[in-house]
Amino acid sequence: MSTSCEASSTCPIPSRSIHEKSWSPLPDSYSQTPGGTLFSTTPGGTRIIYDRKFLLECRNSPIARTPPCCLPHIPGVTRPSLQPAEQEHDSKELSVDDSQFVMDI
Amino acid sequence: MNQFEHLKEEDCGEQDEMKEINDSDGGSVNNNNNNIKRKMVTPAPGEHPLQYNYTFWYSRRTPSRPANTQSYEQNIRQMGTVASVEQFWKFYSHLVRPGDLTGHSDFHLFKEGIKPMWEDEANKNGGKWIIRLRKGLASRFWENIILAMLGEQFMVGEEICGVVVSIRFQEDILSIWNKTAHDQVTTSRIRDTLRRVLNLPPNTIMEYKTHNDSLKDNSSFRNTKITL
Repeated sequence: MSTSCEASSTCPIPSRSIHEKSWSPLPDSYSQTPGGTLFSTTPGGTRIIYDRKFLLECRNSPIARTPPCCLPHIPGVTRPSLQPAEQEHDSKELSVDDSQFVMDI
Repeated sequence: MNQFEHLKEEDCGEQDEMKEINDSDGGSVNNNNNNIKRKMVTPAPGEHPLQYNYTFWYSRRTPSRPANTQSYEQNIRQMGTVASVEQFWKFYSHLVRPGDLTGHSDFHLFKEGIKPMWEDEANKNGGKWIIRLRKGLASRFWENIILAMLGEQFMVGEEICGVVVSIRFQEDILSIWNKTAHDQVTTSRIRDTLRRVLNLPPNTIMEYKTHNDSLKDNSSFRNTKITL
């Protein structure tokens, strides 16, 4: 170990400048979103995990409600537009489950 | 695909919504959208990415006509691919619910690049769990199984291939396909997760069938192994 100390000019600790996007695809606010989680499972990387509640909450975002640009037209299968009443009906009926009562199959 | 490779694609900057080539001819038999080159589908800025991209498929056939591989491939068509939670809802909200489908129809939601066919590379050593549902339950169960799959609730690495809801005459059937049929650790974990995410009563019968067996007896749902 050297006993002489040289005065050195201060400089910031070198670090790799990591472009935000190469670390995380998610906007800054993501970590605050309740229910959505990033979960590290293996040394190879992280796995993106969402619970049901969080996914259902995303349903009402404006992005999610506009029709996809390339929806094929299959009568009886695809619906080009949502009726307002229908939208509500959908989210109400299928979210009732949250109470998790046992289904009779 | 490596998680970070997937993320780099986001930088293309041109994606505002899901873009893909899609025919608009209403589904003629020969041009059913299965083999054309696809444009890259990525999450748009501000959207929540999925661990994998998924493709929606639809199939229908007249029950009286026996299916062979070729006719099955012609009767099944892609509807679109999604890369984010928001894109998923966009798409899903514009499909009728399975309970409202008529005839002998199926919805499939599979990882991008895997065809919902026994013969696909990803499926040839695989199998599926099936759960039979009385009429009236398909829509709710379909939604719950999709959300579990998209949300990576199964925790079996890369093993999940996709899920199917099959509307039939007197019952409806939910299936989840995985890559390695003989991997009992994986298949047990999938079974246990299904019980949890679908809230199945404890005595629910669950059946497993390898795709090899399906190929042999040319049937999806007969001659399964029954588990209680």
